[in-house]
Amino acid sequence: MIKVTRAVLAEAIFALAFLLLGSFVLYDAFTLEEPGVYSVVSPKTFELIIGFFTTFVALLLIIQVLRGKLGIAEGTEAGAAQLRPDIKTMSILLASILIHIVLLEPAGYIAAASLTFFGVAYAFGSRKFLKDILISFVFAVVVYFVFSKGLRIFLPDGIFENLLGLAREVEG
Amino acid sequence: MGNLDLLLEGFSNALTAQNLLYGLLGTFLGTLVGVLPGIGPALAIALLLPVTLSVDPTSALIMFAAVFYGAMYGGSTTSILLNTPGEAGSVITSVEGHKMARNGRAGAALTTAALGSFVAGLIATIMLAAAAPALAELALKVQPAGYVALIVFAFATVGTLLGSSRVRGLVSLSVGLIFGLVGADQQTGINRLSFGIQEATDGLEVIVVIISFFALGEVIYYASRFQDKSWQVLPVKGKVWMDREDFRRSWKPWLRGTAIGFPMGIIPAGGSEIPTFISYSAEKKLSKHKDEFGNGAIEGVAGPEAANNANAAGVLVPLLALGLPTSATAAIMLVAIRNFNIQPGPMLFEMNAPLVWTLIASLFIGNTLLLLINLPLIRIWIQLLHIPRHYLYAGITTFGLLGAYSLNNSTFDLRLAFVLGFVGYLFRRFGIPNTPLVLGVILGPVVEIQFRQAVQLSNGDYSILVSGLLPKVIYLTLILVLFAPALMKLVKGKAGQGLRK
Repeated sequence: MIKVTRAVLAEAIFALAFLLLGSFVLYDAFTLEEPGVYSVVSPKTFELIIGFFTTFVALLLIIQVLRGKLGIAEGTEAGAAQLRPDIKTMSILLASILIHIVLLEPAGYIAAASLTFFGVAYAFGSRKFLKDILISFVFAVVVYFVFSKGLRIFLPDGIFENLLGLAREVEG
Repeated sequence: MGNLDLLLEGFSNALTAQNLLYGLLGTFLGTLVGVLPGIGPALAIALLLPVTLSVDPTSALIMFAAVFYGAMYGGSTTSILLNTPGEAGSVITSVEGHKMARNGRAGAALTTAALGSFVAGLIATIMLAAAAPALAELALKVQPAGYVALIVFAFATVGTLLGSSRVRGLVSLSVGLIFGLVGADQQTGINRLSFGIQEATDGLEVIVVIISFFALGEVIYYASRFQDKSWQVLPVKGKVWMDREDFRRSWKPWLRGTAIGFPMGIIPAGGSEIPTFISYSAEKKLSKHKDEFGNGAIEGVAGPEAANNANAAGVLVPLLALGLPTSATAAIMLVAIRNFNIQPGPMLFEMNAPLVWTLIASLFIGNTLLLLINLPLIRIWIQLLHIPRHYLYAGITTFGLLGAYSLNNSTFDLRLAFVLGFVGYLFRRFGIPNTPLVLGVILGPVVEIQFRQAVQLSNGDYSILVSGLLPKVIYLTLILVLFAPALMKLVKGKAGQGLRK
């Protein structure tokens, strides 16, 4: 038996989650409604194939993990992957992405993108607040301007777009 | 009309002032994004896809071809000066190139990479123009069962030959196939794996999947391993140009690299790193300066860089002629081309002849523009490497989210990107490659269509899948490819044991 370290445990959980995914695909395939129209190969067939394939691969992965063959992230030296993930940096980063998702439509692109840019820079250790706020805002305004005005790609308007008089005219 | 006439017509379509401007913009953006550390060609193209959404097809294709070559070239600059190759194809370049930069010969390394990429791109695009229509003509005779075999072959080789572990490649492939299943079935409209979510019934947007795994996943991974140490960018001292001796030592590796890279792109052998490794070891064997290898031999940059670029052009042959992408970059090109309602495949050269020849002409133009814009501007590109890491990641994240949103103007895609970005982090963390996933998402639905057509043709007799010459040949080759290394190892292992005794 291998020694159960954090790395082994983490990967075992990943492998089990993957097995669960495979089983779920199979469950979805077996409970699929019957097609109203006749087809020689029903949509079930392909889903079953993929479900069985995934389950099979998941079992192979579990065997690998149990034999101590852990995955090593590309570009890292052996042993480096065992480092504990930096939860704090990750949390700030993920929160910055979530802010974008929540704020984009109600507050407009410039507000959402500035906050995300600032948040990610903060997560990665930047502490020059004034400079960062300025750069985040300029970045967001430039991107908004190039995409919305230059390339005519839709981006939601909001607080700053109205303040700056950039918002598109409401039609009708 | 002969193909040459069609190509000339393609050139006359492509060479308008407006198109050239888009081409220049594409070269500029492609190099810009490609130089940024951590962004390989595949992600560069995915990130720049929204830029082409509102441009007319011809201009967009030209821009794309330029982005394609620009991103390829930008990646090599990063690996020479920073020693953190953004993608597998540049790993070898960084071995010798980074050593050259350390010895104060960064300029020569960058120039031989640029010229080598240009020469390889030029020759490979000529070969592409000749090979793709011929292959497409052959492909018209391929039956659905043959297609199924081809795709299964691509899945198996890309899934098992890439990366360090076969099982992990297959994990990636199956997740990709599952993503491809989501949504209403093309034939019967029955929803699979969509959890009653309205947006999911249209299927998962491939570009969102790519951005999540290549951009967000990567940034989350960097965050998880955040240690406050900065990169060391090597300076480009002295002259940028290479001298006569460098040139004399470079031109043969360029040509050999092209000869190795292009054919390996056509067969779905999986991964652009294999031809670069082969080129590297070939140059090492043939070189008169063997002692310099490992300490900055120019042949070790010239050959693999040419092989890398020729390989990228070679990959376009099965992409255009069969609709079969065999690398992540090609897969994204496929999505981009489909966005203009053009379906790559055997019919492409008949249905969309003007457009496809414009694309091929654009590749020539993009390749040339790249040389014109890159060599003089090399010092500006290098400045990009000095962008602080926190701004770089902030930019990648924000831009990735923009790309995910603007495809459908939907926050569903953003929420999806958030979740998939985290899965992408887990993939990175556990050493699971991304390319098989991308192929699975894109080719999964394609193989299902062909599979159904094959079985419908035979009225439900599944043995049609292995009947006919082509499927038989492909499956036999596949078995050989998959099990030959294991057999070799077994034989070698026994021989090794014998020796030790």
